Amino acid sequence: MTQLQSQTVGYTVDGLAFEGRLLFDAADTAPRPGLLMAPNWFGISDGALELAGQVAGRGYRVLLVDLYGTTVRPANAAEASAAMLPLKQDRASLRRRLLAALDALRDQDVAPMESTRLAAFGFCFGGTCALELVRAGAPLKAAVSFHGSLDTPNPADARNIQGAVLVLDGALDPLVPREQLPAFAREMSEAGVDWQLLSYGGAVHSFTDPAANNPGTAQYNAKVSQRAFAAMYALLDEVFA
Amino acid sequence: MNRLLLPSLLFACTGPAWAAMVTQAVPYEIDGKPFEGTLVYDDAVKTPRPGLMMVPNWLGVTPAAAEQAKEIAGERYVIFIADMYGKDIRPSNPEEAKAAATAVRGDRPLMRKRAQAGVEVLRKQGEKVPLDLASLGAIGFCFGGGSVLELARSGVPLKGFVSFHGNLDTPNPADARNIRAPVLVLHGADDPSVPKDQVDAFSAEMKAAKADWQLVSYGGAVHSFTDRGANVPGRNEYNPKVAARAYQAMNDLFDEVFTGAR
Repeated sequence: MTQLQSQTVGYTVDGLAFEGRLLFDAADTAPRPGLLMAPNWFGISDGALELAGQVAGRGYRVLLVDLYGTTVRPANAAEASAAMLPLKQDRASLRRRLLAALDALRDQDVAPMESTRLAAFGFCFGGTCALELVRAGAPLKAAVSFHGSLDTPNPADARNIQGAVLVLDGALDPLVPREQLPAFAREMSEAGVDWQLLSYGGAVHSFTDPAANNPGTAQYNAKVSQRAFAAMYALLDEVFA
Repeated sequence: MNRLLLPSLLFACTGPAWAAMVTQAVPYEIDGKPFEGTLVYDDAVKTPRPGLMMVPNWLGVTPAAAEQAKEIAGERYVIFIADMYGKDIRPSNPEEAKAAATAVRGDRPLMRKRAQAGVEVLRKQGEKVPLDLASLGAIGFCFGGGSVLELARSGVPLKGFVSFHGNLDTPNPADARNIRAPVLVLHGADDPSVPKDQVDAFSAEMKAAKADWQLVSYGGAVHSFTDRGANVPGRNEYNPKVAARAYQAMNDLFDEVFTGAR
């Protein structure tokens, strides 16, 4: 029987306090790979905890990252946007927070973990974060972006990438401008990165988010969500084999 | 060489119980003309399995295609390798293969007819081997990938269509509205034989038809990435990692659509 548990994990960046949440199956006492999950712009929400728990139930120690600091918990889209935008525009600061969270995951002693088997995944803004973290040269076996923006001010940093990169993209996503795709492909290929990009027909933004319900813009797509998670698990099986 | 090897494979059907992979020649006719494909399945499995109609690369029905089919079939699938050329056309080199493939690719009604005949022959195998007739799909490689997409556009009622490094062009993009099952395209991002304008046109075609489609671009992969014999860097080259990923993606799709069929 799975005993899903959640524990807060604190870390400090630039004098600011952050509090992520570690999700794990306490009934599983073997060391397991560690995954950093970067949530969408709402940060640590019930929806993000639910998702992190589902992934943890598959045999991973999942740290749901706090990117905003303990005092910032957006309650609506306007607050989420206000919290996200400065960070999205300051990639150096974003990377410091992500790297600190990764350190916190690696150093956690709550759940037995294989601390050299690490990967990152994220949703929407969190997908952008997973890619930015791997571009920073973090020791990840894989980085997975679900409907995240692919742009970066630092394309040359792709040469720092150590693991496999997987992008799960809605072919009709209006929030990830289509011109980002060839630019990303070029960035990855020029750097010799091990990358894959899946285009899902009929899918728009937020296709993994059961709460997304703006047809044509951001909408849950159960079938595509299932396919995208299957693709992530297949890659994790491969890189952790 | 190929023609000499095939009979020896046919008689090497029986093996130990843990590896009872059968390779069997299946003759058939289209419009009175003789064709011969190859049936591949694990004889140790006694329960009905899903079936895949496989269109091989431009070399056609060869021992290498049968080996690839065995690798894919395992205990999961019954595979029928369709003959797209006719029994008297067995290309022995790329020039002959190109001539044979170009003739079929240039005649899409003929291409569809021959791929559909392959599906019918697969169905008939249910009389001989345990085959789940509600769980049938089509796969193809290079020229065969293009053929499978054309088969999908013909409206044949299979459960899934998978193209491995196949060409994506068609003279009949409007026929995409006939597609009745999910389409999965597994594409090398650096494949010089399937240029970006084909990828863009295919995406537009599928979007316009609102088809259920997925396209995977594999970084660092060129043409023929599943083909163990391909060894021309930058053009067509075997890529074991990407091949394994592509087979996994295929199995994931068939698990999804065949489960739904049961």
